[in-house]
Amino acid sequence: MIISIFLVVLAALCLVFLLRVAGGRRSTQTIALEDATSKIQLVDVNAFRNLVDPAEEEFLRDNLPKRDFSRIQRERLRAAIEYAECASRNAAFLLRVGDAARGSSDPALADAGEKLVASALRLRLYAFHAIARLYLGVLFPGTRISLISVTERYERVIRMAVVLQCFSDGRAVSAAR
Amino acid sequence: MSPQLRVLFYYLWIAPHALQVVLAAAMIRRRLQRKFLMFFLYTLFELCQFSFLIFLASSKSLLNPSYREAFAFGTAASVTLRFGIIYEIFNDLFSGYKAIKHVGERAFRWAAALLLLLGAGLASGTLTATVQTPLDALYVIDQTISIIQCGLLVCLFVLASFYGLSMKSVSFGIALGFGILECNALATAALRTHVGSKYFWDFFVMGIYHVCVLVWLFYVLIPEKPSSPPPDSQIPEHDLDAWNDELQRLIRQ
Repeated sequence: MIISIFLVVLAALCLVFLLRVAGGRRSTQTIALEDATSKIQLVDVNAFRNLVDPAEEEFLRDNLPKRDFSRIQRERLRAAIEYAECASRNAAFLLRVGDAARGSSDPALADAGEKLVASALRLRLYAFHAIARLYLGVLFPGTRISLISVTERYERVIRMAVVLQCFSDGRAVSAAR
Repeated sequence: MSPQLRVLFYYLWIAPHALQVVLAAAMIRRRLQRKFLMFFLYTLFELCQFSFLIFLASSKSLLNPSYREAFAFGTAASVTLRFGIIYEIFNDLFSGYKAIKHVGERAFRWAAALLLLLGAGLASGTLTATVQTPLDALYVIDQTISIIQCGLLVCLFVLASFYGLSMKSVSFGIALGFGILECNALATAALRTHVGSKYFWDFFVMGIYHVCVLVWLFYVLIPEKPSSPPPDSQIPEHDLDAWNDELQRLIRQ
């Protein structure tokens, strides 16, 4: 009977999850179409890089008492988690942008869209790893964490988004002429 | 069974299959039969099975051994096709994203292996505790398969939301319908040996199947909406300025 109860609870949880996804899907689409601007939040890459810089961490470790270092390091990592989550959300939005662009009849625009999609997906994956490692760092402030690859990926995605927009603008200007 | 219940029983048996005829026709009309081949075959198979079973039931009886054999064979084939459908939805979801397809495949394989272990573990516990007849054993097998299929569908939705991928309407509808069906199958297989009469669970399962067919029909009939704004108006101007500043900063470094 215990197994049966466990399975019923499991089935109910799965059903609730599926229905929530179904409900959320509609609202996500509406927001993306109607209020695209609210989706993007700029990430201060320099600040993020500073927060996860191993040299900075070493400096704090050497110059602060252990307890103070742990407290400050936790705060720094919590701030870094917010940055990484923000980068991940931006990547999800840029994924849609790239997705729409790669269906374009203009090969250059479609190619730029394809590259943006690939990079945005990788950034999502890197950000997920980064967030997991940052949480580990919050739990154990002594752990050494290097997350430079996330900032590099983020910068690459931004560059691609700007390139894509340049292609779009160029096409719009050509059409106007 | 009272006459009213008999009418309800035949309605719940016939109506979903009548709707599946409409579903198959709608798929052909929208040229979806090749893209979702497994789902189309599943729909046709369900229709063939229904026709055969209703013929057996009308000529003999629902308690006839040949009816039960045909029902068991049909269930086995249907389960196999459902695995194919899940894989088909997975392929459709990742088809446009080559960069992460291998990561998705690996995650999906791991999830399948873990679910198989979980299902086998729970089945061994149930087999020793409650199984007395071959029909009970069939329910335990059904329960194990439901755990795997339900888990795989949830895994599919988790992967889609993790990567921020948007599922196409038809894909999403098929997955949602099967998700509801599998959750119900899982709960029913676990409960039917303990509580409620056999008729109650039969009606319940048939009712849920009716709902699922309606979900599939809805998503096949509604036109596909574009999930993103058109490319020319993608990036808001003020955000673009900020990104350009960011790019200039990068160049200066």
